[in-house]
Amino acid sequence: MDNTANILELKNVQKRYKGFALDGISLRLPQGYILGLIGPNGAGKTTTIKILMNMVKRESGEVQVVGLDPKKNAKQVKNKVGYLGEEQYFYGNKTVAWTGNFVSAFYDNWDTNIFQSLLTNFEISRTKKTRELSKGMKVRFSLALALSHHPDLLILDEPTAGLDPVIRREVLELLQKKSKNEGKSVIISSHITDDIMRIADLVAFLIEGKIVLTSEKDELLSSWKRIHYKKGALGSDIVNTLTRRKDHAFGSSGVTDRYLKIKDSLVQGITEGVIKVENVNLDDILISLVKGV
Amino acid sequence: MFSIVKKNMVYFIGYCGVIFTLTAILTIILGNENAVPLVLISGVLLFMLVFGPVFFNEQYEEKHKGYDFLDILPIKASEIVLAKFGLVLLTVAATEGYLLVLFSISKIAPNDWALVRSYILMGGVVCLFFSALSYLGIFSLGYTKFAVFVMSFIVLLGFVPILIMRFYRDNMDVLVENILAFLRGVNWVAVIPLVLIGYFSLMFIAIKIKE
Repeated sequence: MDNTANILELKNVQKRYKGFALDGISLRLPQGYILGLIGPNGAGKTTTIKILMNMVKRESGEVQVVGLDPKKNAKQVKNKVGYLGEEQYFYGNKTVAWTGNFVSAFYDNWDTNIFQSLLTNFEISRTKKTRELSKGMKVRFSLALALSHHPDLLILDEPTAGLDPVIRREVLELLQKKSKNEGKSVIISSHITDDIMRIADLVAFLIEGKIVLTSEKDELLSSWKRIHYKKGALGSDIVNTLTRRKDHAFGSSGVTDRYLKIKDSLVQGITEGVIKVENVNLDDILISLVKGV
Repeated sequence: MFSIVKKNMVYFIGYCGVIFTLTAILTIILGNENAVPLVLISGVLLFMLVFGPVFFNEQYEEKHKGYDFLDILPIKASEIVLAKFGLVLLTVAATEGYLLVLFSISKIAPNDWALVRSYILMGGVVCLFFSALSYLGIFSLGYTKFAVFVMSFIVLLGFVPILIMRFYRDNMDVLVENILAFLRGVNWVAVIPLVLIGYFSLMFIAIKIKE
């Protein structure tokens, strides 16, 4: 992955609002990968995504999207990017067909065949007015618009928020297929960590305007574990590094981010039954990062 | 950019249809005998461009969050603004051209044609500047806030005739004569390029606001 060219790169990007600041965000996404941007509400995910689309102007730092600075080349960047926001805006009194036709005029590589086949696959009526589409249908329609101009990169801001599980799964599977089969790169922001868990290759945690952790997802899940232990089974050097420590009937438990390093020292306790190691999910990691000890 | 023009032109075409028909009917009904009210009404109708297509289009954009939709598409803010300003300019030019031809072939006030021509052209100038200022206001404040501001402005405008009456009570004829003399004396060959420079300058400010 290290040798793969980056389709997206942010270096020390800053943006200040009253009461909130993006504080020197640095991120990179190699071509063909899916990056999940995880963070609680108000962490700065949407601001970061909008900076990539030049919908919000950064104050400092460098941004490259498909090899271009979106601040200087917004039109060219948008031409090569498929964007799906949390809210979908259309001219409500216009039909799906009109909207597709209107949008097509702006893209150099618009592919009507792809658009028509996506509408068919998503079961979206061409004659329906866009205001008559349900939330799920609007997301599907936006996705059809975002995919019909052969984008090199898909930028998705909370695309599955408010969707029912069936449509959520369908959207995620489509994104995964686009990445694996067509080599499309995807950055997806969400506070629903299940979505990221399902499709992302890389994850970045954004908390209070700062990237606090970036990693390959599998590597992250190998390093982060919950350890249950009986009193005295773990050395204080390890106990002191655990987050989210709790006492319960079995003994105590806590989350570690250095399981691979301490793994060998736990073997004896595991054999004796005084230590148990459990997998964590991205939710647990997010909560550990947000709440710490 | 043509897609933006195409999307916005519906209201402008509707406006032209209404204005062209109405002024033609008025010209037939009022004719040369009532040239003054005919020309005055035509000027007012010309000015309705601002509160007609310009405001309707922007209300439509706000209702559907059109600018948020356009923001994700590969189009520059300058292209959107250019399309809107261009449409206003074209509509004003077409309406003025139509009115001048209509009044000319209908022989409306042939003895004071310079005044009729000047009044129609001045109506166009006012219309262009109010449209441009409206776009600046809408891009800065949003349609709803700007509409409230305009309504307040219109209410305040109601006091203008009262002030004029107060200050020129005894010299009203002189004031009217001065205005008419000014209109007759405007050198439009020199004024039109200046008007266009002013209009395009406001357009560039609008682009900066939109960016």
